[in-house]
Amino acid sequence: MNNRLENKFKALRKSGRKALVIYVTVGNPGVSATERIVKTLSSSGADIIELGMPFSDPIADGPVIQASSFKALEHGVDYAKFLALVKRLRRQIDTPLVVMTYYNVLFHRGKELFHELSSAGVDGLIVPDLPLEENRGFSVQAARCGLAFIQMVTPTTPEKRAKDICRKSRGFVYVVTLTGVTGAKNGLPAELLGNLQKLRKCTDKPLCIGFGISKPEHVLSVKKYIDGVIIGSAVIKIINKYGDTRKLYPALSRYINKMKAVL
Amino acid sequence: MPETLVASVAALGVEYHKLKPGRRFWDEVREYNKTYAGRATPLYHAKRLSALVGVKVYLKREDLAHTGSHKINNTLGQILLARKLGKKRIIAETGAGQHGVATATAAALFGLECVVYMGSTDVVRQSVNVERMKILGTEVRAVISGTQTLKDAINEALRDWVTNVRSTYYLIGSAIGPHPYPLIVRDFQSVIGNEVKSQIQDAEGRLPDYLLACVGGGSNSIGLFSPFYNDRKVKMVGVEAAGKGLHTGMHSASLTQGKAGVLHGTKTLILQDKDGQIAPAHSIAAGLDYPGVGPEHAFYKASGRAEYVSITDDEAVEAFKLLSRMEGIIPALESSHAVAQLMKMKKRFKPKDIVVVCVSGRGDKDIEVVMNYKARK
Repeated sequence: MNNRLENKFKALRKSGRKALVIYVTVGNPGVSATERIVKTLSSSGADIIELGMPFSDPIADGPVIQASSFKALEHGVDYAKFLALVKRLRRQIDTPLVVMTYYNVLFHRGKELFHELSSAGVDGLIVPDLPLEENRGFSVQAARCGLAFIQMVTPTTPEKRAKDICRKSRGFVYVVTLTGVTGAKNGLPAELLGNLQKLRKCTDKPLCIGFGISKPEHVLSVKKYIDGVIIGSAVIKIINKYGDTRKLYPALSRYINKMKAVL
Repeated sequence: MPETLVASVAALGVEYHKLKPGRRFWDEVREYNKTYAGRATPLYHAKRLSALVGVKVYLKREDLAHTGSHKINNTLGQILLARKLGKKRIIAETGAGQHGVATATAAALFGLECVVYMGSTDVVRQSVNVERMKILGTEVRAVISGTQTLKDAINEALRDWVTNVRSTYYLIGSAIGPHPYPLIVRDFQSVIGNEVKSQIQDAEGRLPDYLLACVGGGSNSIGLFSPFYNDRKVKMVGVEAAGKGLHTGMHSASLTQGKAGVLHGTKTLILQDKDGQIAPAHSIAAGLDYPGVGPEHAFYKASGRAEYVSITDDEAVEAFKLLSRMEGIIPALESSHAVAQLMKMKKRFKPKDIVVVCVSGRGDKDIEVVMNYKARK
């Protein structure tokens, strides 16, 4: 397992805390704004940052992240700019960085992508449209580059398969809370608690829940069974609300503090 | 494919492989094709067109199938599958609206709830089909994200499916999507090629020299081609949309201009940029306006079994008018691409050649588009 991610979860478990993983789309509202946003998130206490590489057809994402992705692409954010930003961030912060992108980007770039991301200072990779059967080779190649290939478990994943996914996942296991796409919801499905209890028996690896989470109360009932919470759309909404203005950064800090208080 | 869908796609594969070898399922499909969809569709010897081209031209009249295109072949078959899987809600994507109408029809036939996703650009340019779907009791959801065409309609249908996967069957209309969809669509569309095979034997006592069909996602073409796969003397020509011209970048010619990639669960040839971002496609024919293509066509191309060419918007509109006036058949703009290719190949044909062109759909839906196109020029 990658050191930064591994150390982070070790430290959190030791102190009885849970990880706050924050997703942002790189280039929304602009690349230099993303740089300031990530630094703010990190200094405010976000434990892990998930950097979304914008993609033209983000099928796993709801309207908020979709719009942010299109906006970034419209602003001309490409792979080279993305990589350059990661390098700049890595020189300034030590927070674990995880990249989220779609399969065609990886397919197109090939295993070079792992090497390039890893040298830029990325610790893990999430590819939401690439299921276990098709990512085996990639997972091994990523590991060789010191990059954790993070696998996803969903409510429709059968138990035996979930065990397999947990075994193969590196860094942490991404537990999708609901059947659906990303985006804040009023509440999480009732089946989540049972699913987490089962998963907890399958694996000792860190379990992080994502999709639909925006408020502290979403987390309380399942906190016992998880190691972290992933939040994306709720943060993007804050970013969209203030844009790249002076008000944005304190607003992000306040949100991080509010979430951290229950984790 | 997202993990959430893996179990459902696998269940579809299991169910289909259970049904495929059995006669009872296919008897049921055949019965609906015959008594409901009006199959077999004619293979018509187009005499005036033949005289013009200098070979014997036969038109496979999929425009005469119920709902006005070949799409009904697949929707009837898949809706029977959906019923076997116990699904009560049907979703589909549509470009030109032909698949949407065919899905809405099949859903009405079996009393199932139906939602069709359609890019908002296509909602405007194929408004007749939108009204038809509504009349059939289907909810049409306009998709305003991305390029607002077929690709984005599929994205949105996939997002719906991920959300409602337990209750919902995704009825894909093109020979694309995760396995086993391309295979299922091909099998249900193979009725086109199988009919042609026996009809041409009856009419000419031999197999044709050429098969011509348009290729967007590639469902009518793979349906026509695949039964002839082993008949090596039968040459196959798939016709993609060159849109405003290949050099303009505004086209949908994924087979000739695309690179290997993965889109909508299909590994195939895709129009994309240097970073693997999917490039916007263009065609005057909404049903061809897709940056990917069925994986079996990519295979036919790589193995050399079929040849793939492209036809511009201008050429397609000319062919649309030509077939209307020469034979009294108003073809869909999609099918017009195949007709245009026929005219283009005039010099390549030998006098004794027999050519089958698939008229995959009727052109009523395109009247307005063609009228406006005329006005623009």
